[in-house]
Amino acid sequence: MRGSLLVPLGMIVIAAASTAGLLRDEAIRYAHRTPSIVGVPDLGLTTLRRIIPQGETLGFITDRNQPEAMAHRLYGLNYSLAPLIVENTANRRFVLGDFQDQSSIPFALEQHRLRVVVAAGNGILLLEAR
Amino acid sequence: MPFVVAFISLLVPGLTGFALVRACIPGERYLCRHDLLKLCLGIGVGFGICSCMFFVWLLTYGTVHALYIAVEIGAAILASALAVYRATGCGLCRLPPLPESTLTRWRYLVLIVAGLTFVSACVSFALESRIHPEGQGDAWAIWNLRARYLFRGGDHWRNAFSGNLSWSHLDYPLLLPGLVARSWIYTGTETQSVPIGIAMLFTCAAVGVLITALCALGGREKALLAGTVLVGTASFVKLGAAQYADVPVAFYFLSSIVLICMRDRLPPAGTILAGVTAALAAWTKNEGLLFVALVPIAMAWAKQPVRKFMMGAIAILALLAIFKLGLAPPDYLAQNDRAGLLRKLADPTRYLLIAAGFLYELSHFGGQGLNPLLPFVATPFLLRFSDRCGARMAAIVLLGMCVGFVGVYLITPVDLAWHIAWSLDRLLLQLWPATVFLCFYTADVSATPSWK
Repeated sequence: MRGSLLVPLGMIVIAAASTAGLLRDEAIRYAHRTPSIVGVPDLGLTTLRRIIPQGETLGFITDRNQPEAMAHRLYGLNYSLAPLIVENTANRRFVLGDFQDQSSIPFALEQHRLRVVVAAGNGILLLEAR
Repeated sequence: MPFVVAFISLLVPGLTGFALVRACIPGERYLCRHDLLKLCLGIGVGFGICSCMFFVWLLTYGTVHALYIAVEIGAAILASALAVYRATGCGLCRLPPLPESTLTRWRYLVLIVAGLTFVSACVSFALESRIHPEGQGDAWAIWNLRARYLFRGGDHWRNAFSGNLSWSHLDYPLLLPGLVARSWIYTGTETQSVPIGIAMLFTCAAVGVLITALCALGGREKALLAGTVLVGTASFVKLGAAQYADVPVAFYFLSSIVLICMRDRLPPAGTILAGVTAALAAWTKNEGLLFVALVPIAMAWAKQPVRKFMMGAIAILALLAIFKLGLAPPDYLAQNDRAGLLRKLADPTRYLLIAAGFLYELSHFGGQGLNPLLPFVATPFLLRFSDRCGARMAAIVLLGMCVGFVGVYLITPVDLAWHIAWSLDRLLLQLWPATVFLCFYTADVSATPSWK
C-alpha cells in the first residue's frame, strides 16, 4: 500500500472507532441516567415564587463540606431563581437551605436562628429569619 | 406548539444570515450547489447579527418586548431583498472543475463511513441533550443563566451583571445569552429546545462549512474525509451537545479562516464577511478578541489590505466595547499588579507546567482514547503540502492563538494547574475545525505520494 494512503485510512479508522465509542458511552449513560435537575424542580419553584417578594436577595446555607459541591448547589439555585440573587450567607430575611442529611437541619436552624417556611424539593428548604 | 415556535425563532436569524451572506457573496437567481456553504455560513452570521440586534434593543428600550420580533422579521425581509437584488451569478460556479484525485476511487468507502459517522454523532448528540437538557457546567452556570436574567429581568436585565454573580464570568460577551433570550421572546416560555437547537445548529454548521468549503476548494471526497475527521472527534460532538460556547467560537474561527482562504475566489465583500465572523467570535468568548486582533496582523504580514476586514468587524467590535466598558466587570486577568506579573513571567516552573499541559492535552485530544491528531502527525512525511491562497495567514493566526493561550496561562491570577486542566482541552478544540480545514486545504491527501 502506498504510504500516503495510510493517512486517509488512519483518519477514517480513528473517526469511525471514536464515534462508535462515543455512541456506546452515551447509550450506556442514557440507559442508567437519573434525572439531572439543576437547582430547584419546577413545582418547588412555583411555590417559592409565590412566597418570596420580587427583588429580594436570598441567603444560602448547606451541610455540604466540599467547596465544589457547595458552589454547584449555590450556582444551581441562582440559575433556578433568576432574576433573584442567592448569596452564600445566612444573614438574609429569606435563606435557602440545602441539606443532604435531615439530622443536620435542627442544628443549622438553631445556629442561624431560622425557621422552615416550605420544602421546595431536591433537598432545598426555604427558611426565614426568626 | 412551543417546538414549532422555537424552530421559527431559529429560522428567522438563519434566513437573515443566509441572505446577508448571499448579499456579500452573490449567488444565482435560483439556488446552486454553493448555496449550501452560504447557508452554513449564514446560520452563524444570522445568529450573531440577531444577538447583536437584541443587545442594541435592550440598550435602547431597556426591556424585552414582543415588538422585537417585528424588528427581526423586518431585518430578514430587508436582507432577503438585498440578496435578491445582488443575485448576479455565483462566482464559485464559474471556476474550472477540480481534477479527479486517486481518492475518487474511494468515493463509496468515504461516503459510507462519513454517513455512518454523521448518523452516529447525531444520535450521540440527541442522547446527551436528553440526559442534560439544560446543558452542562458552564452552559447553565454562565450562558443559560445570563439568558434567564435578560429574559426574566424586565427593566432590571442589567442585574445579570450584578457583582454577586461574579463566579459566573460576567465579562463574557452576550452572543449565546442574547440569542437564547431573544428566541424565548418568540416562544413566550423558557423552552429548553432553544439552547439545544442553537447548540445543534452551530455544531452542524461548523461541519457544514468545513465540508462545503473544502468541496469547493479540494473536491468532494477530500471534503467528506475532513468532515468525517471533525465529526469523528468525540469531544467536538460532546462539547456541542453540552451547549458550551466553544463550538460556536470554533465555528466563527473556521468561517473567518475559510473566507480568508477563499478570498481569491470571492468578491471583496467576502473579506468584509470574514471581518463580521471574526468579530462575532469576539462577541461569543474572550478568546475571540485575540483572534480578531491576530487576523489583521497576519493580513498585514502577508501584505494584504486589512481595510475591508475591519469594515466588517468594526460595528460589532464597537458594540463589544460598549458591553465591556459599560456593563461587564474587568477581565480576571486585570487582577494582576505589575510586580506579580513580572514574577509570573520570570518563573520557569510556569513555563514547564504549561508545556506539560499542552503535551498532555495534545496526547489526550479527542476524548475517546483515539487521538484524531495521530494521522496528522504522519502527514508531513507522507503527503505534499502546497502554499495556497491565505494558508500562510491562517497558519500564522492559528499559531498566534496558541502563543496567546500560553501568554494568558503565564499571567493568569488563578491556580495555573487548575486553569490548564479546566480549559486547555476546550481551547484546543476551538482551533480544531480551522486546523482540520487548513490541513486538508494545503495537504494533498489524495494519495499522490511525494516520491511519485
